[in-house]
Amino acid sequence: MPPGRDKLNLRRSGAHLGLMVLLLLAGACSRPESDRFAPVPNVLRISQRNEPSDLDPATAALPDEFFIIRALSEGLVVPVRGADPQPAAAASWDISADGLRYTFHLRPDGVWSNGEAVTAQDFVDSFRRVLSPATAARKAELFFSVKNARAFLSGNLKDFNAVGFHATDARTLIVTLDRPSLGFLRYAASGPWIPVNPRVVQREGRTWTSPGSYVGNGPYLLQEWLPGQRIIVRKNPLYRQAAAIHLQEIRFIRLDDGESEDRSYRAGEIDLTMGVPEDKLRVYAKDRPNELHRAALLETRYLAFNTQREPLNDSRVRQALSLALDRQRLVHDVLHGGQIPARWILPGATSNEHPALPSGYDREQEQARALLRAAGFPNGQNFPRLELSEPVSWQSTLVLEAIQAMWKQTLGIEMAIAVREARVHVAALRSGRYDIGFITLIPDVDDPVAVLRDFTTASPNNYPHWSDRNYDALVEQAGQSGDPGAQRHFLREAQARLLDAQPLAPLYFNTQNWLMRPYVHGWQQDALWNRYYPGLWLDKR
Amino acid sequence: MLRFIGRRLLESIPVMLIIITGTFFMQRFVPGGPFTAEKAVTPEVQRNLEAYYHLNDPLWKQYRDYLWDLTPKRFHPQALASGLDLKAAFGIDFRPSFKYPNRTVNEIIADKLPVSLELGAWSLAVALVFGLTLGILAAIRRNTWIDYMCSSLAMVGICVPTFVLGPLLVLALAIHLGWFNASGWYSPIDRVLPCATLGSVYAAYIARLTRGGVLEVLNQDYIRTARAKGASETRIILKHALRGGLLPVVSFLGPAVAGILTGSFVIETIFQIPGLGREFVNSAFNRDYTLVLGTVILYAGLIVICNLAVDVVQVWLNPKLKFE
Amino acid sequence: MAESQTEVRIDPAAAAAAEPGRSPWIDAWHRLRRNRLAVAGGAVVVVLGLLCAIGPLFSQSFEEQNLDLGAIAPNAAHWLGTDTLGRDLFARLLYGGRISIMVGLVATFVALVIGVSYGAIAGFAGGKADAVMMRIVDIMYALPFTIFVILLMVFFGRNIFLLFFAIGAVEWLTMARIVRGQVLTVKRMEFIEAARALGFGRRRIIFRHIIPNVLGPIIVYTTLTIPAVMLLEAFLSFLGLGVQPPMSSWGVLIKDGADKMEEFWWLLVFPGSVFSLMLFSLNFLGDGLRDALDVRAAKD
Repeated sequence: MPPGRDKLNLRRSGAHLGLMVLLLLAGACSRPESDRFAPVPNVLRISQRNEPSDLDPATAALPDEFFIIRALSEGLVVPVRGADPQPAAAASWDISADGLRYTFHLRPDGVWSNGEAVTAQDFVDSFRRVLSPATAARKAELFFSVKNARAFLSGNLKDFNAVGFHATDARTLIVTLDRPSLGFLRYAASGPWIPVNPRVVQREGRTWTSPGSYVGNGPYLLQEWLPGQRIIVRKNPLYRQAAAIHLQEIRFIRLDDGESEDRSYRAGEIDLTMGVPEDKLRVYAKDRPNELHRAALLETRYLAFNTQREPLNDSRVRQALSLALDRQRLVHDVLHGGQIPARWILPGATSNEHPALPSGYDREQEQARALLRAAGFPNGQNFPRLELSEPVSWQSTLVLEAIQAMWKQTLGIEMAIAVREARVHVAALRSGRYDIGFITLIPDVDDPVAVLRDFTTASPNNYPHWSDRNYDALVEQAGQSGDPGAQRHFLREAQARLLDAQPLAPLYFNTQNWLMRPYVHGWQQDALWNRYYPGLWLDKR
Repeated sequence: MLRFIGRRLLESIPVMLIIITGTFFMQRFVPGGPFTAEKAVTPEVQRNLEAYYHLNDPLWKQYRDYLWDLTPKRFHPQALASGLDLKAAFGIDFRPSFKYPNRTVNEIIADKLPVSLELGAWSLAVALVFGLTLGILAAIRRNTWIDYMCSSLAMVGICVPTFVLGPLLVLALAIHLGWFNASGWYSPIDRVLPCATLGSVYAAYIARLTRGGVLEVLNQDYIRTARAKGASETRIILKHALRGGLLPVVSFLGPAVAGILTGSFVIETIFQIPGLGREFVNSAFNRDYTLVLGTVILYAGLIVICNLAVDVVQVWLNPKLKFE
Repeated sequence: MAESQTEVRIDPAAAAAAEPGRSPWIDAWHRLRRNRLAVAGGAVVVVLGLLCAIGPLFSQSFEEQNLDLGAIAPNAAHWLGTDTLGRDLFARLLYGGRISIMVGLVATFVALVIGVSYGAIAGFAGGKADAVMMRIVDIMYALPFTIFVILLMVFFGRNIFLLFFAIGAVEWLTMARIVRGQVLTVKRMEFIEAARALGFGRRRIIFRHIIPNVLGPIIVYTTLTIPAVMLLEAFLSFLGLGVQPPMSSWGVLIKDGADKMEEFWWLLVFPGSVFSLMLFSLNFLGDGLRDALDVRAAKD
């Protein structure tokens, strides 16, 4: 090698490394960005975080699919945040004295987007389709309160006329339940109860949900569906309330993760996000207070204890673990999203009272230590190293790391965190191959009985594998009572038993934080992600 | 050469069969199925779902039925003109996807493959142009500042991972400057940022391998002879050195091209590109058995073709080699 | 007549002593030492390695949280700042470096050994053996990696060695392919013919004649493999196969920092810079090695 060339170019190499650092720093500087949002007149652009498998209300399972379905069709009634379901396709209804018969009177001006009138028979045919075994509808259980629905679904009953749906004339639909259900209207407002046009489905087959052939009775029509990119719906001129619909078009823009969504919002490409990246919550609260919104969700996040395993089969250990958690701190210092600490399992949004919760974290810590000592593990000695299992997700990892540290600090026990792929996690929990698992509980319908039923002995959602006959009985009684006061009583008793035995440690009730442009008005979404579009309008800029 | 190609294509049949079989059974051993969710479905619904998708048949029967659906049964190539309908043309049925039940795997791949191909092709073009240039420059001016500059620039693609470079570019060029869209794949200008990001990685590999390869060759005797004969340096590089120097690049590019053409999960997520890259990963997470198999078959087919192309090119680059 | 002629006598022993025969490896070592950039690169690698190996003994805890503090910028108490749970970033970088460097070097070494041997044997053997071996490589390439990883985790639990295995199982494939390509070229050269004529066994020819001559691209590709391995480890950790929280690695730190780069720039800049520094150094070292081992370059 020629000697002259061989010098140490410290300056140059340093400069190249500096280039790298500069590049990294460049992105990190937050300068005010150009204000490029030009609202497209009368077009609302919403971020859609999950691609719909299909837009058929009978087979849809995720709230994300119903986001779009509810723009295209409406059911008998629609859910409303904090109140009872409101009339939609049904103008009014009568409830029989025994609570077993609901007579729905459909609106006379209800019409499909192809001009046909919406009849009660259309509803019956839709429900028949959902409950047919051949359709393999995922959420058919939302019909179980209807007489014989379950039997028809299982294939044991072949005659649909025996199921509690009858169309006595074109505008009257009678639904017969097999026992009084206080929350029935909420079920009737749920997604799978949204009707389809039977003739169109018959004619088009499986592909009836594509833009050319979709027929619904809702405020919008399906105009375009580019999988993985966007779905566009435009105003349905035939809708019964068409004059009151201000938006010409809604675009659902597919965005995979929270970061891309955030970037798109800031670049002015969408008007509404579904979430906010955690580290930006405080910044937006300061810089964009009129764009950051927050709402409570009916979503409980909890830790399930595998009560079949030592030492978790001892309720004192479980209680100690639960008491040692500083939920306030988790919510304030780790999550920052305005989540609500939870001691019980039913979120506050449901209209039920809750058992009083002990206050004062220091006292709880003492109690926890005492309980652990009583169970035979003073200061955490000899406590086995358990695994805290969670599905892949960045948010829950932070929470679990904080919990891991809390248990170590307060009780002196070591836990390992096992991040598992999402379905492997669920499968492990279901088969009992775990120690402690992190679960997100989102009910389909705002029905506290359904939530508590998850922890009865036979329920497949009973991840703690806990069994208490008294609890089962209480939940059963709550489900069967026709009187709101009695139901409240049973629910309270059931929850008290649940808290006593502590097969799970509720952590927090989740909230939704989202960004919305100031010119968007009339946004309605309830605590279970059910949206209502007709009230939306845009402020012209 | 034709015999070589023919023989390789024949060899690929058992290869594909092993890949299909391996993937089919591998998937079924993974816990959790397409319908596993935190909210369980009731037993009736579970039964109905399994009946609909034939999941309660014995495994060997499902495998046999799937293989039968895959074998070509007829020959109407004209049907390919309308949307790559393999089922109508050859009787090859990839079946509906589990996650998107009213769309067949065939349709999904036919929709997304062209997007990935376009993304991949442009990225590869960017990578080749920048990579080759930087690599050759670095080699011929070895140990000068040009070498260091080119090598360092090339290293950006490796040192700054795509999940950092992509958002950085979006922040700088789309949000702050407003020159591009932050995401989407609608107009031609949407191609720039994703292809630049994806291309940077491969440019780095190509530059480094080219530099190494050309350096190897530049010291060979025949280069020395060419110089002695008075050939210009440019001619030496372009005509003689490049051929030998490109060998490691070509070896690397074979499977890399198959990878780049089937999309990149990270790039497609950042820029929201409706390509196949995301499907490769998401279909595994969704336990979408048919879509996993469809994408694996596609990928395997591409690998077979790319490796074949690489072997052919290698012989062309180095006349001493023969088709064996 | 003859007396005026000076007699030149050559003493064989003295001649031999003046110019001792040196093995080509020692030659290469000397050349490497003279390449200051490569030496600097090597030094940085060693320094980073030592820092990560013994630094953690003296640094703060990497897992001790301080929720009141949250993420704060670099200051006197925390030289590189803290992450969102209030953990010291410097300590996390050191501990994370242990994982990344170990994985980077070990997994790459495994891939190297397997890939080079496999590729060399395939290339040298040629014919049917080569075809079968390369088709096996094709098959392993095409099988879905995500599912493979999940299966590994399910059947073998969570084990750091599984991480090496999973990564090694993937990276050796391209290495084998590149080596095979090079070997196909080299095996036709005259010196191999000569070796064969001299009756050397196949194993000797492959490992002592062919491989040393294809080392160039191997070294270059190895320096490219290490960063790919480190980032692959980040992906696997994301899936749950790699490091479990609260332990971290550079790849995971970078991914975490990338999501938060606008608010907490230090979470990206420091891990990213260390990562880049390591790669640059490996790069220069690799180039130096390649140049040093290039026999023909020395002739200038």
